[in-house]
Amino acid sequence: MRGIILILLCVMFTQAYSQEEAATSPKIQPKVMVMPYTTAKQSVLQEMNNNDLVRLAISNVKEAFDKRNFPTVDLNAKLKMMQNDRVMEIENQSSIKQELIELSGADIYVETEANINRSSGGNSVTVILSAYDAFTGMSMANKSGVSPKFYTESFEKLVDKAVNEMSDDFMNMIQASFDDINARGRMLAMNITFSEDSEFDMDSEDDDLNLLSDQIEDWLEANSLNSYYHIQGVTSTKMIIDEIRVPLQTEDGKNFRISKFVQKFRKFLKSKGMTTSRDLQGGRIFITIQ
Amino acid sequence: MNLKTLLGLSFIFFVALGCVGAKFTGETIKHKTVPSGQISVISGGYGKTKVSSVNNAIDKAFRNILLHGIPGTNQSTPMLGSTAEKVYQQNKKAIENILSNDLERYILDREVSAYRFLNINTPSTEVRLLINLQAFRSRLESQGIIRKFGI
Repeated sequence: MRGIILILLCVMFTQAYSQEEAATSPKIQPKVMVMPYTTAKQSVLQEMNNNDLVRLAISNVKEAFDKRNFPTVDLNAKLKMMQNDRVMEIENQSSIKQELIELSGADIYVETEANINRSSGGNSVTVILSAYDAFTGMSMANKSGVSPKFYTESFEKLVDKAVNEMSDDFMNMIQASFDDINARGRMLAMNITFSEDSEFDMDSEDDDLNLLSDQIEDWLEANSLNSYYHIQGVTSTKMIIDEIRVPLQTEDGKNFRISKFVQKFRKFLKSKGMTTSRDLQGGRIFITIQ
Repeated sequence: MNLKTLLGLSFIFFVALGCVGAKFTGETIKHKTVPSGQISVISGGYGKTKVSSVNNAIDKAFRNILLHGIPGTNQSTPMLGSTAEKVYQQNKKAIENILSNDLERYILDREVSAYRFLNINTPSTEVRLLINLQAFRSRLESQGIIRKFGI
């Protein structure tokens, strides 16, 4: 009898402990990378090496994140990680930038721009900060600031002043976006395409004459948080969903895994007789129907 | 000095006094630009005594920072977030406790411009405050009233 009571107590304790552990699973924090703003023809590497003002502005923005105990991905380290010859191989600078964002594993990137304004009344510096979701490209926060005018050529101090005056507000804006993610779920993006020899396309019909695109949309409606999703476009060979909201944590308090979401979607397609392959880059999902 | 002159002078004195009293708006507004982690505001206060009106001005300044934000400052949005009123109601006891007993430690500098009581519906003082925003935010974070930076 004593043994049975002991076993029962052990089982109850284990269950209570596992429930408590699940309830307190810390949420996985997004990774942030601060980088220079570049046009399609400008190189991130060159901008980092040659533009002292931008480098300083980036350092100041990183400092603002540090003040809130939020570490950032180091851009220099990531640039070094990318093989130099590989960087040189890609001629299109915007591709390098995209690749850098993808390889860094950053969920959010902050573009930093610093411009000098010269006038007879003194010189100033304009700093523009823009934060984006790396996978959906959605804008999360934007802030611009101008330093006071001084008769000086020491633009570093002006950048320092401009960023200092705007960083708090910029961080508050990002936090507001984080609050929104907490309330409405995190964003995913999904591209669904077909292999060249696939016998299916988005216009394929089932026995009830439902188009495949409609069936996918029904699945998204049922499996997104609060049925929130947005389809950017559908053709017979492609469907782009630029925003799907999913919860941050499962009902039992564990972190929501995107791979499980993909697995569920692939099982759904399998039930329709389709074989699929998938690629996963952070919050961006690529599904190819064979 | 005859009675007429005395009355005339008294009239001018009271009119002048009335004009001085009207300069306080009772608002909480930006005072000057300060480095990140701080906020400089001017806040009007109501009260029958100097102490009570200054305390009211300080209380109003912090309440505005928490619930509304002060335009043009380092805290232009509510510190309690986009659902500030809801967060306030959920943590009313803890917030009121801080507002009643613990604001002094977050005030880096203060300057009481003047005090003059006219009636309870007119602000009787104006205080310039330099507040340690970062420390105040950390306090709210440590008590779980607001989330730490991140998701």
